[in-house]
Amino acid sequence: MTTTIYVPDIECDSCVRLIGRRLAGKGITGYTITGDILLLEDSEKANDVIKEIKSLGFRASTSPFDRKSFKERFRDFRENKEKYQTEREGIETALGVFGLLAAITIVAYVGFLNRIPNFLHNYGWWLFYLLIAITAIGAALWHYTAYRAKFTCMVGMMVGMTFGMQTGMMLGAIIGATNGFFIGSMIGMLIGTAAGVVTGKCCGVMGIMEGMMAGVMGGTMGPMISVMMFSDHLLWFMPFFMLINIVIIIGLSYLLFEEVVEQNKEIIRKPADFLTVASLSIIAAFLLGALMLYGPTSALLTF
Amino acid sequence: MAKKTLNLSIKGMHCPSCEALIKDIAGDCKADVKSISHKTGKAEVSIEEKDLPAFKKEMAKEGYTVEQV
Repeated sequence: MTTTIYVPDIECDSCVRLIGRRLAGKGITGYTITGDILLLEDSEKANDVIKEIKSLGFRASTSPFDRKSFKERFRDFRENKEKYQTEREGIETALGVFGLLAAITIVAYVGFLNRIPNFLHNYGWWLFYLLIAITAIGAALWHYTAYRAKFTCMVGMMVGMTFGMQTGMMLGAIIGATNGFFIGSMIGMLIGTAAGVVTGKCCGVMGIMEGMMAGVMGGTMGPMISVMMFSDHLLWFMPFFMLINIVIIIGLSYLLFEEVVEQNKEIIRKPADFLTVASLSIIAAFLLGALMLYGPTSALLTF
Repeated sequence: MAKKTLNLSIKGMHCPSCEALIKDIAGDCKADVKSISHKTGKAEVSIEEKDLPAFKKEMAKEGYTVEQV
C-alpha cells in the first residue's frame, strides 16, 4: 500500500538528490518524489523514511503541512535569496524611497519651510509620520502589484480590507492632527476607500465592498484618534500606533507571499521600477504635505 | 597517507541543500568538508590525494565541477 509523505521544504533538485542519497544509503528504495511529495510503495518503511528525511533538516510527515512557522520563514528568507528576490528588492525600494523623501523634506525645510512659525513644533513629527506612512503603504502596494496572479475571494478581501483600513487610518490620523477632524476624515476616507477599491477589486465585488468599508472605517477612525487624544499624550501614542500599523502592512505582504506567490510556480513577476515608485511617492508626499501646511484647518486647532 | 586541506572551487551549487549534498558526497569519499559556501562557490576540504579523483568523479555525477584553487 502506498504512503504519501509530505516534505514541504523540498525546494530544488539538490534537495531531492540529497534525500535520495540518504535513503539509498539506508537501503530504502521503492519510492518516487514529485514536487514536495514522496510516494512510498512500502508503507511499513514510512517511519524510517520520515526519520531519515528529518535528520537532514527537512520537515516530513504523513499529514500535509500547513505553513512555515515565523522562525522557519525567517531562516528561509535569509538562506534562499533567489526565492525572495522580489521581496528583497521591495525592501531596498522602500528604504530608497524613504531616504529620498527625507532628503527632499530636509532641503525644503532649509529652503523655505523654516519660515513657517513654529514649524518643527507644529508639523515636524507629522511630516515624519507622513513620510513613513507613504513609504509603508507604497511598499505594500509595490509588492502587491509586483505579481500577476489570480486571487481567491478570501485573499482579495484581506487585501482590500487591509489597504483600505491602513491607508485611511494612517493618513487620516496624520491629517486629522494637523488639519482637524473634518479634513482628516475626508482625506482619510477618500484615499482609504480608493486604496481599498483599487486593491480589493482583484477578487470582484466582495473585495471592493470590503475595501470600501475598511476605507470608511479607517479613514474616519484615524482622525478621531488624533483629535480626541490631542490633549492627552498624542505624540507619545503615535510611535506605537504607527509601528503597529506598519506591522499589519508587513503582515499583508507576508500573507500575499505565502498564500499567492509561494505555491504558484508559474507566477509572473513584474515589479515597478524605482523611478515610478519614487515619483508617485514624491507626488503623494507633496500633495498631502501641502495640505497639512497650507490647507484648511478646523477652528478647534490653533497653532 | 595524511590528509591535505585543499581549497576547491565548485561550480553548480545554488542553495544550502547543495552544501549538504556535497558534505554527504565527501563523507562517502573519506573527505571532510571544513567549510563550504554556495554563495561563493568555494569549499575547504580535507582529503587524501589518492581519494581526490574519486571525489571529483562522484561530484561530477551529481552535476558539480570541482577545481583546485
